[in-house]
Amino acid sequence: MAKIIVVTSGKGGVGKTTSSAAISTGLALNGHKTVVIDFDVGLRNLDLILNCERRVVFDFVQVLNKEATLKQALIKDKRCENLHILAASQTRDKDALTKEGVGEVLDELSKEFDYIICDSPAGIEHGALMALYFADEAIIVTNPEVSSVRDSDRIIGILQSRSRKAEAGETVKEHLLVTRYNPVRVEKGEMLSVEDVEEILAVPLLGVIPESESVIRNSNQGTPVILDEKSDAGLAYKDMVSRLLGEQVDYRFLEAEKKGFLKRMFGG
Amino acid sequence: MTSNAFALKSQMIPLTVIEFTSNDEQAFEQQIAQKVATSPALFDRMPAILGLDELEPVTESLVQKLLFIIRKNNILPIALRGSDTLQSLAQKLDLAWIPPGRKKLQKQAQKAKASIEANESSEKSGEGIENTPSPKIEEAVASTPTEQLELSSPEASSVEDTPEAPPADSRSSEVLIQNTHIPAKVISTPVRSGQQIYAKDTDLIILSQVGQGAEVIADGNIHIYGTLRGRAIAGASGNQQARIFCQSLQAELVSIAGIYKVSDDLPSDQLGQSCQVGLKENNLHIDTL
Repeated sequence: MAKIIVVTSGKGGVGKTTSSAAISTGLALNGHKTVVIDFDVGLRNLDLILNCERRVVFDFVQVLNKEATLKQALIKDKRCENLHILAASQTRDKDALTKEGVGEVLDELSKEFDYIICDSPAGIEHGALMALYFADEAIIVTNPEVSSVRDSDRIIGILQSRSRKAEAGETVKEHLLVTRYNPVRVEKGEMLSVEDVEEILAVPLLGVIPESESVIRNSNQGTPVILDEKSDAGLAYKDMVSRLLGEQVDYRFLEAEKKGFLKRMFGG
Repeated sequence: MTSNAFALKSQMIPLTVIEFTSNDEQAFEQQIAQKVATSPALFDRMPAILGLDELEPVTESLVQKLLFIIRKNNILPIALRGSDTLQSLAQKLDLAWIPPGRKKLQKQAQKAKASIEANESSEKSGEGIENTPSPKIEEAVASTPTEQLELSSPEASSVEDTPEAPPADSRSSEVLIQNTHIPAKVISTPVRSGQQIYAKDTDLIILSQVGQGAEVIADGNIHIYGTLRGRAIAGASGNQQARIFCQSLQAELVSIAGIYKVSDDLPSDQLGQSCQVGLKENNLHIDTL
């Protein structure tokens, strides 16, 4: 049985798709058969970030409607043989997703894969609900700013009340992923610190991804940032995937560079 | 197939019993008015049962007088409780009849003892209000009387102490409020933005935090063992004695019995502090714990 992990946030533009691409690539690099599904029907992006936009023939909605088989729709990643992508339909909207249909597709994928990563659309509407409904675990992507944190709190509440696990009286295991973290701005008091976010959300931390130009560069090139060995964000994603797999990895990039001594003196 | 137009369900609903310990209707009139004045909202159109088990003799004129007083105080009498001789009276008054409560024997024993001490000369007067609610909301499994609050007026104990006093002076009033216990609602996970928790007719205990945009409501008190960033509304059905306790006050709004303060109105020196919020003379009062 595959483990179903939803990557969600409530708020848009915080890095769900980037994170989904990085996490699924990371899991695949670690030897796990992984499929990543784009639930953002109508606004598909994941294929761009994974550089497979020119190879999308059939999509998720067509599989749901039985217009195509899963085999036809799954796109195999060129860089990483354990990774498969199920693209969203660009011409449809979220209403095309039904609980029964999504459940069937996930059941079928479960037989073959170790991990199913669901890339949730923003919001708390139907699309996001479909993405999180079947999740065993959830990665909550949050930027260190108040509106993102509040929206994350909202989506966690929904996870705990409206997911399949919640309906069965179980809990969805939650992980906090803080993205676009800028230690310099945190020190200036312009950004919430990781500790603040953790305290407000009360969800165990899984990773902190520093704000980095390499993320946008890699996205534009269609390379998951986790494959960029020179990028601090890529390294942070790697650490995060290791933690997701149960390893103990120390946190990096949490403090501003060249300020170690002063930080210890004044920052606490 | 036609669907059923109704279903018969047996349901346990909390009701208040006004337990009479004396047939002195003047003392009752005075004391019930005082009692109602403490929280008018609570008594407004409150259904009540007249517990007449202990009164002897129960005459029609007495019951009529008591009913008049009760109705005057905006309480809604729905039934008479007592010996089966009351059946016909209840029917005549268009009220339900309920057989004597199970506490009768116990009370009788007490009364006997008291009357011996009182040299059987002093007439015991006063009234008791007894709440005998039962389990009602679906989750409330069982109910046992746990709380006995005695609100006695100064002369309350005089009956035993001054057995020789003339009857008129030895009137005792003893208000027995017996709340049947509804278990508090306990939430052990964080209350998230957009979530709303309501503890009906009871206290709400939250063993975690209440996030911004979350709302916690209780008819009783609210205890939050964590940070309160959302809204907390205690005494939602008018209980002015309700309080809110939290370990760190960062609330968007706190309200007791409809009187509220928003975040901007909270004293800045108490923000982030462990606090209790209560009502004092119709004003929200926040005390650091």
